[in-house]
Amino acid sequence: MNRNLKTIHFHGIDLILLPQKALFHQQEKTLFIADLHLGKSGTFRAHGIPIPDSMAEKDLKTISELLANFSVSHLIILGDFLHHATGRNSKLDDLISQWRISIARTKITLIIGNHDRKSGALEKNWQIISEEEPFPYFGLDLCHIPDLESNRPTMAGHIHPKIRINPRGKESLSLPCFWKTASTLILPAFSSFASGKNIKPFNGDYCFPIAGELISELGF
Amino acid sequence: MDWFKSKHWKPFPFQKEVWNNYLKGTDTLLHSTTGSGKTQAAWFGPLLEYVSKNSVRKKEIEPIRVLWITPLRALSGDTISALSEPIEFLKLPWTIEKRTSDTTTTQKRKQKEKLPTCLVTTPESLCLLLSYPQTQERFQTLNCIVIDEWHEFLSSKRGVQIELALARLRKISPEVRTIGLSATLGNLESAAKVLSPSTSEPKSIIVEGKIPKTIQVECLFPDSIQKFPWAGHLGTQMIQQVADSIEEVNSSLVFTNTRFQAENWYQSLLKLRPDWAGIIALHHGSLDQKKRTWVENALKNGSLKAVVCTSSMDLGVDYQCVERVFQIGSPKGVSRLIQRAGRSGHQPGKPSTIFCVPTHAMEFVEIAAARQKILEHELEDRIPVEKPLDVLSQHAVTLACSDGFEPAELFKEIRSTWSFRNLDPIEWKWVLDFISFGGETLRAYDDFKKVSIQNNRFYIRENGIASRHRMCIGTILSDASILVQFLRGPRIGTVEESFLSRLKPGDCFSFAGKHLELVRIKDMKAYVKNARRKKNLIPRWNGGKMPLSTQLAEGVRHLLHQAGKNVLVSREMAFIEPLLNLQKKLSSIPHSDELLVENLKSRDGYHLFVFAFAGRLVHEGLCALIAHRISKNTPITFTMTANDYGFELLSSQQIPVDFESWFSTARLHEDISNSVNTSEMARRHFREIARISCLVMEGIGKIKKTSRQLQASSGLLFDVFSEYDKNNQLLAQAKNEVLEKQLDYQKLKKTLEELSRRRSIINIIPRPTPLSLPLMADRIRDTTSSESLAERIIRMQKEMIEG
Repeated sequence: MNRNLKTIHFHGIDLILLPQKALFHQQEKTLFIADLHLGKSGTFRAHGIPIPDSMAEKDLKTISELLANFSVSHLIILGDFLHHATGRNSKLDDLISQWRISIARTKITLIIGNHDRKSGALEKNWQIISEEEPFPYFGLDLCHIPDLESNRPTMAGHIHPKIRINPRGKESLSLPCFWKTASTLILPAFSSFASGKNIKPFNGDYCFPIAGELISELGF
Repeated sequence: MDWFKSKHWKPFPFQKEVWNNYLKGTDTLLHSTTGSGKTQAAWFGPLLEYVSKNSVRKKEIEPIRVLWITPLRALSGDTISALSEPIEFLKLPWTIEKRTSDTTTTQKRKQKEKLPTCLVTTPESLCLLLSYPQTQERFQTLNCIVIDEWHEFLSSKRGVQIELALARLRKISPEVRTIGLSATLGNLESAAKVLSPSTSEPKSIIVEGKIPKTIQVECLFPDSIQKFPWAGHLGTQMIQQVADSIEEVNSSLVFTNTRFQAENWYQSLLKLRPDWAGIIALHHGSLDQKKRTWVENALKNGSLKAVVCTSSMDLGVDYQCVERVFQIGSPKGVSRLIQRAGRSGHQPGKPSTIFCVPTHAMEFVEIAAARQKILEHELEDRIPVEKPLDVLSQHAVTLACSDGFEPAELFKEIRSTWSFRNLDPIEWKWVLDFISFGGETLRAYDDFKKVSIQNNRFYIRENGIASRHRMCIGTILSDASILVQFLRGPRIGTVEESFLSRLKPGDCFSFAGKHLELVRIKDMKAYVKNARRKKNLIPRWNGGKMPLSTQLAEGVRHLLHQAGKNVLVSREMAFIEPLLNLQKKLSSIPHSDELLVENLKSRDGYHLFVFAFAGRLVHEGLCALIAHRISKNTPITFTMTANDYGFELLSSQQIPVDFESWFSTARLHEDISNSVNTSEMARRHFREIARISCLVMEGIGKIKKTSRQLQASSGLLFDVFSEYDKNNQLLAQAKNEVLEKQLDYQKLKKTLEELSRRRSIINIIPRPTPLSLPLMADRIRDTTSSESLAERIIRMQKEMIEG
């Protein structure tokens, strides 16, 4: 196994943080990702902002590689698989269908996110099981939108967390990160076309910023 | 003329000249100081024309004749009242209205149906107006375009916006004549050329307003130079002198260089004179518009003793009752000081006095230099912006929103502007591709929606696209800012996100002269309440570090040259003589054909100080460049610091000196790109370009709600384009603008050439000199807190004198 991976213990479960912005639960051969936002570039084009589509292809390819490398049997998407109905078109749908065929043996579950609700129905042949949040998983709640005030152990997405490194210095840098509070673990946005939000961790929180192939750990 | 008689005024010759130009059918650039009757000079041309053509009084309201463009919407009110006076006196059937972002929707709709005879507006609102259908019909009767404060627009993308709008309006109404009003400018001829590109002799359209308004530059002196700091720029040590001087008159303006400094001085004045609470006020660009308007009105009717302000008060509005103007800290530029001085005694013929308040010792030299340059009438140039494709693509979409355009025809029209006179067909083709199908890489997609093409006509089919475009028209930009508002109560103003994001709820800060405690940040709003604690942070705004202008830097060098020959011509120079003597004793004062280099070994390591006197921007580029060139040959690490006079390289090992290779202009472009992180700078700068070309929309409430699914940061777009659309011209523009604007490439190159001709004097100094100490202090400032900084400077200063 790659030494750039980081294992954390979260409410009774051992999870591996991957620099590809995914989370692996080895025991169950389950891979978690959040906020894929497929079709976001199409939405932009529909509104007159010229963005090419290559990111969707690249992101799906990354997922396929992860599934193969870790022998994943179950992929759980913590919401926002699609971006918006305005970005849906036959090209995108075909792309997803083909991708689905190439990873036919993996079970896919989607926790429905706010963007999914405005993106139209999922194609049947994608074979994606949609679930409402909170969805139970080994004593955890799987959600799209985290409730930071609740103390139920939760895994979620939605926020696209980023953390500012060296905020006062001249070379300040903002990196996507996993964000772990006492009860919640939030995944960075998987999409390579997603802006993030700089978070302000509370005392006792941990952040795991991702810089290329490296994951580091910051305690607060 | 009756109107002038009624006022007991006699038209000045220059006013007559402008009227004659106008009636002859030529454009005019009127160069004249503030408060010299420029408004009347421009206004009476169209009025006289109307009166001569309509000897019989008509009843019906005249259609649009005059477009009056002003840089600030805040100025439009005053302009309207000035313009209305003669109209009312002569009882002409003319209407005068304004159209700015403050105008109500009903009013705007009415104007869209029928424009007033004279429309007072900003460039952004004018562009908006051009984006509606029937532009042609709407502006057909236009005769005259007046651009107020043309110098303010000249070196900005807003100026280019105006150039493009002018080209459009000249096409619609070939009769139209343009009158530019400009104060204080070094390169008048190019200003005239940009205003009226079809004029073959730009000189011929320049009219000089011949009312020399004497400007007196006074300096406030501390008790002694010994205790006066040699570095630092907040400098409230002169607060007592300033307060005493404010006391002497009814009303004063206190100009500062940064909002940070303004907040600081306001607080300090109140601390010294608690009895002034309520009669002194604060005014800067981050305060809420309502608050600013209140301050402006209070100042106008004379109920304020003093207003501490920034460049937010630089422009136009007349404050007759302001008797005294102060400039805190470095004047930074000659024109700037003249403009500010003009805020007092705002009437033709009256002298304007500005009291300069130095915050550190070298500023005495700057003040003396500024006075000298004003006497010699050597003002700064404003360099017009060339060929910004972001503005062009915005403009093309604007026209597509209106009645559509035919590319070849529009190409000709665009090339008639100064800015795009050299636009080549390939670039034009790129812009057309970019707005119609999203550029080369998107040719394969059919879902890109912006500009459609039919029968070689470019137009916009969907209302949604057009209205989204209208929302993002405008090129004035500021950093993402957060509205500051009381928990239950009024808005206070805006603070840059970069400052607020560092605060946690419960933290206290000073803003708008108030002590505030942050409660929470939600939806781009910071909710605050009055703080109980007194110890506060003051927000720091970006862009506070304005460099010294070339003219002023040159003036400083000249005064030092004289001082080196023991010629002290002004009181300021005489005052700092002890300091100059110390500089001479420890090192030397450079003559104007010399380059002074100081070498020092201290506990921190080996220091190399180079004094090129070219302004901070150039020095920053210069020291990065030289550090890079040294390290190419020798493995060595540096700490770099730059200010307006020179720069410092600090290293743990001896720094090898080789002027020839340092100042060489060979492979300059490449070396600069390698020495500073130009790609990261371009990525940051792309924000402005992305906004102008309507790729991102930020911080506008209405849009935020409707297009949440369109959020992407400009940095992300930059990355996406860099990876998937390498030939995107906007990327090239970003890189180019970083080089030209942020690094001032041309000036850097010129400086290098000039430096290689200067004779270099290398002095090994036993301890820091008056010239090098400020550089050391700047470096330390980055690493220590400000309180210990003040103490450290004082200590170092003491060591120097006693040592």
